[in-house]
Amino acid sequence: MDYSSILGQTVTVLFVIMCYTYLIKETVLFKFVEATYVGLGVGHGLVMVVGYLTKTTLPAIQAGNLSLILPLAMGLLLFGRLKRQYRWFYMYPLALLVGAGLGLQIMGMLKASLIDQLVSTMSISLTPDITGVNSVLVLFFVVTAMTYFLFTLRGVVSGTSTKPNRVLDKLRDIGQYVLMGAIGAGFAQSFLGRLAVFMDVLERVLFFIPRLLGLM
Amino acid sequence: MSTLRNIGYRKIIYLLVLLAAAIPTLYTIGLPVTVSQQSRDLYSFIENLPAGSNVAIQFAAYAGMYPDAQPATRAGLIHLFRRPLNIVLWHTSADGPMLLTGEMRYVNVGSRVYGKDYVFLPYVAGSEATTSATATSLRGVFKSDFYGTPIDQISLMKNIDKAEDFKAIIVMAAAGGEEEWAIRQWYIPHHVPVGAFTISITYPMLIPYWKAGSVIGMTNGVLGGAEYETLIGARGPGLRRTDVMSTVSLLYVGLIGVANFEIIRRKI
Repeated sequence: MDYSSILGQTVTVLFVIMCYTYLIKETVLFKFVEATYVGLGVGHGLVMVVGYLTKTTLPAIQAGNLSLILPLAMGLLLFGRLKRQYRWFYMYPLALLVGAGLGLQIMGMLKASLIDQLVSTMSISLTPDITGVNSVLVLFFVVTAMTYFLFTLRGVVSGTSTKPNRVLDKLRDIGQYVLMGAIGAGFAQSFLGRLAVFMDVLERVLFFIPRLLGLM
Repeated sequence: MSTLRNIGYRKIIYLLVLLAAAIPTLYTIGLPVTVSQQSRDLYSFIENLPAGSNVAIQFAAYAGMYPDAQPATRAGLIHLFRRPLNIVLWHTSADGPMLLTGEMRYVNVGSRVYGKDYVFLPYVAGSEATTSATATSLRGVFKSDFYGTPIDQISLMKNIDKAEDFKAIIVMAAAGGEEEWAIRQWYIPHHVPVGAFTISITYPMLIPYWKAGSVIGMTNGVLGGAEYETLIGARGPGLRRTDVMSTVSLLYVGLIGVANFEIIRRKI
């Protein structure tokens, strides 16, 4: 193992241990790691973006592609946000970014996120297997979850009073459980993602000495 | 009970999680892994691509969540380079080049020649607009490869420029919705199939797209990595880490059970 790897791994393990002191209380060590991480992240990102500009955009402008000057200038206007009197500068590129972004998204979103998924949800497979059962359940759960958001339809209007609609209330209750299940599953997935990061960190700490000695 | 209360329940849970994670990390249990249909679909699609097909890889790895996507990403790269495919890879995350360099140490490129069989393009900022631009013209976005060689001097890139030149686009290790960008900008307008080696948090979001046929298949974080390692027959970090995930998840289920039991006991 070369010296740069040894130094890199040692710093990693030290930073991990310093970071986890947060579990006892917020310490100076944790704050140091936090600030270093944010600083490194921003610095690295900035270097990469400047690298792209100097390697791709600026040579293209020098080669005669003058149309790139406009987006470059719009990008620079975004820095207007840093000073209050020039803040209005950044609103123009921001409006352009939001508008162009939404325009691009909507184009594909209508088909991919709405039409295709509606068709897929409504395509029931009436087969006596798990796929058939799943397709019926998905449609039922989608309908009940959407019923939960029917705020205007609360019950049967009778004269001046409104009687509760039992069927609608039951569907709404099921919809609530469906939503809770979906949110719970999302949280569990999020937990697994964080756990994966923890496992990676733990491996680095546990196998630090064997790796240093060249045993792994 | 009072001793536990004095130490603090939270600290005890931290210790239990540490033990539940450290023991299977040091001593592998080797719990079995069932391969999901989504992972199998992605594997089969790549496996059945005709030799010489052009495959685009949008490498979107962020260092913060990368450990979750790492096993699947590595297994995916091993699989893609094992097959006789022409690979064009670019980065949509500033962390990507650094992480890919680390991953390529585990990928056997064999007799594949850089520039003729595969090309690495640099990082490009700009989110979904850039994904759209790459579908229209790669030359409009990239003037040179990652090492500074002008694109016109790279033999593989001579006949490659737009989305229609590719048989598939694979989004790797994304944590910011890059799969949806590829679906909206590559699949919908250009009908290029989209595959994903993704993190656990993004996975549920992709299931409706997979069911609708907008995504050919995808892996699910570390678990998906273990599944893909099983499919390609290369043991790696995924299979090692699923043991840890299982034990820590069991501990959490147990803790939820204990907490609920305590609440019920107090009510009675």
